Amino acid sequence: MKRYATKKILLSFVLLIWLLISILRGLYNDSKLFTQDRYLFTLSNYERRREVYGDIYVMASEILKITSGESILLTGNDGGLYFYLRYLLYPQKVYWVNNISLEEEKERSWKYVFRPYETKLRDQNDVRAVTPVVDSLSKKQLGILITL
Amino acid sequence: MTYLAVVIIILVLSCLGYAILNSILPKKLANLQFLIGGGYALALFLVIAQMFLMSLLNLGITRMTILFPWSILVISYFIFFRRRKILIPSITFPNGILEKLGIILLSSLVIFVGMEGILREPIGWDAVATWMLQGKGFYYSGGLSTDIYRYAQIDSPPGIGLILMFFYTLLGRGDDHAVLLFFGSIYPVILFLLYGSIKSYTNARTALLFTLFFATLQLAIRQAGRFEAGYADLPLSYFFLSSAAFLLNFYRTKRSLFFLIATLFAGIASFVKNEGSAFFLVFLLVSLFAQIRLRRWYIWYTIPGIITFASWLLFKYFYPLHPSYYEQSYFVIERWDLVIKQMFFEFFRVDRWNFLWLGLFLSIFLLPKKIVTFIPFQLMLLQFIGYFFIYMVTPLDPVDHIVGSLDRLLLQLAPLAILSIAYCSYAILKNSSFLGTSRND
Repeated sequence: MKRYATKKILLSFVLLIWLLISILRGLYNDSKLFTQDRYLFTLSNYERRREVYGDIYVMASEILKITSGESILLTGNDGGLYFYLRYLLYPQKVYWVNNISLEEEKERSWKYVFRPYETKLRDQNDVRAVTPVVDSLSKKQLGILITL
Repeated sequence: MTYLAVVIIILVLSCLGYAILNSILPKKLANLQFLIGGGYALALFLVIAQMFLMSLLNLGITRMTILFPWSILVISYFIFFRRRKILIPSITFPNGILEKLGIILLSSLVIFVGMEGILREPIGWDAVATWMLQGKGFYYSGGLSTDIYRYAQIDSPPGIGLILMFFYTLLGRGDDHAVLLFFGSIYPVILFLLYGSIKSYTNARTALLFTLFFATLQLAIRQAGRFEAGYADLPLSYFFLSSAAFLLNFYRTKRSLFFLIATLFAGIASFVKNEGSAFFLVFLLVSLFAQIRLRRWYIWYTIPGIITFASWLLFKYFYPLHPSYYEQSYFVIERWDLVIKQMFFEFFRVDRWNFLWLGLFLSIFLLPKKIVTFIPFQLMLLQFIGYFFIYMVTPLDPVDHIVGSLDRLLLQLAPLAILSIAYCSYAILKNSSFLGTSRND
C-alpha cells in the first residue's frame, strides 16, 4: 500500500512539472507571433523570401530574369548554395561542379555558368555575355552569370 | 486566395474521410475526435493511392482527372449510405476551468502553427533537398517520375511528393509556400486522434492533459509550421499513430474493420519515409501477438496492407532509383556503447522533449508488466530497436548521424510514447483528483 502511494506521488510530481513546462512552452510559442515574428506580417512575398533565404533568393530571382529555361552549371565550393538554388530554380536544372576551368565549361557545352561571389573574369574569350547578378536593394554583387 | 484554396482542400478531405469512417465503423465504438483524426489519415491514404495509380497507368494528371474519382466517391457515398445518419460534430466544452484553459491553449497553438505556416517559407534542409523538391518534380513532370530521383539523387518514398502534387494540380500552380499549410494540417489531426484514442480508455481530463503534452513538443511545432515545415517526420508519425490507434481499437472491440484500416495505414507509411517500411514489418509482428492473445485469426485482413506496402517495393524493383548509401554499410558491434550514450543524451533534452522520455522511462519502471502488453508501446519499442540498428550499420560517422537525425526519428515515435504514458498514468492515478475520478470526467 505504501509502495503504491509512493508511485502515485512520484508520478503526480513528474506530470505536474511536465504540465508546467508545457504551459510555459505553449505560451512562449504563442507569444512569438506578437514579438519575434511580428515584422513578417508586414512584408511582401518577395521581401519575406529575401528575408528567409537571404542572398540566395536574390541570386535565384536574377538568374530567372536572365536565363531562358536551360540547365545552369554552378561553380564554387558552397554546397548549401547549390541545394537552395536547385530548389528555388526548379524546373530549371542546376548542376554543381567544384573548381572547373572556363575551358572545361565550354567543352561540356553549357549555355550558362553561374559563379557566385566573383567580381571579375580573367579569360573572356568566346564568352558571349557576362552578366553581374546584383542585389537591387543593397547594390551588392552576388556573382556573375556567364553565357557561353 | 491560394491559402484559402489549400484550407478548403484540407477541410473537404477531412470531411470526406470523417464521413466514410463514420459510415463504415460500428456506432459507439469510435468517438468523434477519433473519427476526425482517423478520417484525415484515410483521405490522405486515398490521395496517395490515387496519385500513385494515376502515375503508373499514365493517366494525364489534371484537375478534372483528379476530381473525377472523388466525385464518384461522393455520389456513391450518398447512394449507399443515404439512410445512415452522420454524427455531426458538435463542440461541447468540459466543465472544469482547467480543462477550458487547456482547450484554449491547444487552440491557440493550432492557430500559431497555422500562422507560422503562412509566414514561413520552406527553409529546412530536408524539405528543400528532398521532400518539397520531390513534390515540385512530380508536378512539373506530370506524375511520379524517376527523373526527379535521378536529378536530386534521392531514394525517398513518394508519398509526400504525391500529396504535394495533388495540391499543386488542384491549385493550378506549384505554389510551394501555400502548401506548407498541409504540413500544418497534420498537427491538429494528430491532436484529435491522440485525444480520441486516449479518451477511449481513460477519461476526458487525462486525454486533454496528454494531448497538451504532445502539442507543446517543440519539434512537433517546428515541423508543423515553424522553420521545419516540409519535413516528412510529422506526417509519418501521424500514420504510425493512426495505425496504432486502429489496431488498439481492434484489440479492444475485436471488430475486424479496425484491423483492416490499421493495416492500410501501416502499409501507406512505407510510402511516406523509408522508416515506414520497417514500421509495417513491426506492425505485422505486433498484430500477430495481438491475434495470438485474442486466439482468433485475421490474417486475410492484412492483405490490403501488404499490397500497399509491396507496391512501392515493386516500383523500386522495376524502376531502380538512386542507390541508398546504406548499401555500403555493415554492422559495427564496437559502437554499441557510443550509440547508446548519444541516444541517452537526446532523451534528456528537456528543451526538445519536455519530460516525454523521462515520463516513458518512469512508466516502464512503475508498471513494467502493464506497459509491455500495451500495443502502442510494443510498436514503439520494436521500431526504436530498428532505429538503434540503423545507427549500428550507418556508413556515416555515428555521432554526427545521431546528432543530425535522432530527434526526427524520436518525433515519429512521440505520439506512441504519449499513448503509452497516458495508459500507465491513468492506471496508477485513476482514483486521484489529478486525473479525475471516473471515465466520464
